[in-house]
Amino acid sequence: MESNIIDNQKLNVNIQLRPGSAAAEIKLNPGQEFTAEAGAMIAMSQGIQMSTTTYKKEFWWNYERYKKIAFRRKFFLNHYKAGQQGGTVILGATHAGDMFVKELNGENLIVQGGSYVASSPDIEINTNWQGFKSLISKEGLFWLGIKGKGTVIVNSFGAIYPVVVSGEYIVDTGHIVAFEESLNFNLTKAGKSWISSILGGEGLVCKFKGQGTVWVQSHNTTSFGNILGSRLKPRR
Amino acid sequence: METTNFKGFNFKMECQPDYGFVTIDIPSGKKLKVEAAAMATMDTNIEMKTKMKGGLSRLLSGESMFINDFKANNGDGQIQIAPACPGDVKHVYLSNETIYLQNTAFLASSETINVETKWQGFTKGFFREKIFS
Repeated sequence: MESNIIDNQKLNVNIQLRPGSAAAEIKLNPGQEFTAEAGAMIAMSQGIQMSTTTYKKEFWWNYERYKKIAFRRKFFLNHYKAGQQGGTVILGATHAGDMFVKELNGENLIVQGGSYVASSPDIEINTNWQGFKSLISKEGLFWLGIKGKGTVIVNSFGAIYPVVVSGEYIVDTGHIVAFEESLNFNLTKAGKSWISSILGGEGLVCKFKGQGTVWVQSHNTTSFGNILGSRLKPRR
Repeated sequence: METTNFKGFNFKMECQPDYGFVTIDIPSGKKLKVEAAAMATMDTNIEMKTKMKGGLSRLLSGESMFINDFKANNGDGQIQIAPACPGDVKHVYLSNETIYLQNTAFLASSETINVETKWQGFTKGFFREKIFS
């Protein structure tokens, strides 16, 4: 039975169709569970039970010291449990892009909210990680703190590219998929002045310091949306 | 026009043909012109400056009015850039030639390449971008 417990911490993931539009095929042992982002499931075999939980994301942002604005966002997670025969679940991603699998061993990983796909049950998902508070209001992103022992699956828009940071490195905020919490970070402007940073289209960038890995996505949804949005017909 | 010989800065293209993701090494003191908002990551010794290029016609053709100059200070720097839309990227080396690009197709070029936008009039209904070195 002991081997079974160890097995349940790890997911048997096979990522297909990389890097264009990846789909993760997860093979479950009998009784094995895992958690996935709502709406990520493409197909599953029979006998798998699904239940949904809601996480409320809420945080306060001090505005001119006295006004406070609350941001609320609901975050749904689906829990899958295999029946007697085990089974297979295929998960897809919201954006066309790659996926990566990371085995965590107690360390903390910060993942962009929309990039999270699935994780094994012993992984703790903290929806109230607020290290990037100032960033969220601008880019419309939120961040998840992921901790524990087991497997995490993360997806991106475009290809995923791991950058091993030793020293300093700059990443555009819209391109961050995930990073290890061992890294220190601060938000800065891309150019020398704020005007140049905003007009140049880069806006805020994140300067990482220390030792650790940042996973970068080759494309960013904001730029793609800007191009696509101007060509769409207005709604009637 | 050469598309096979890799002259100019050292670069590496990845994730082709689904996504264009280009890693470019900028030698110390040199500059690279990059389309606005295309930068994904860069070394900390690279300095960004925004310049207005092409004026109003560039804006009308659906591009940003601005081009970013990335300059490597104190040693070589590495920058990674990606276009906004998924799709392939291609390297073209120009020696005093002109290439016409569809609007929004420009991604990056060396400092000595001139980027212009041409207004073709309403009848022709498309815009041209002229590059020469």
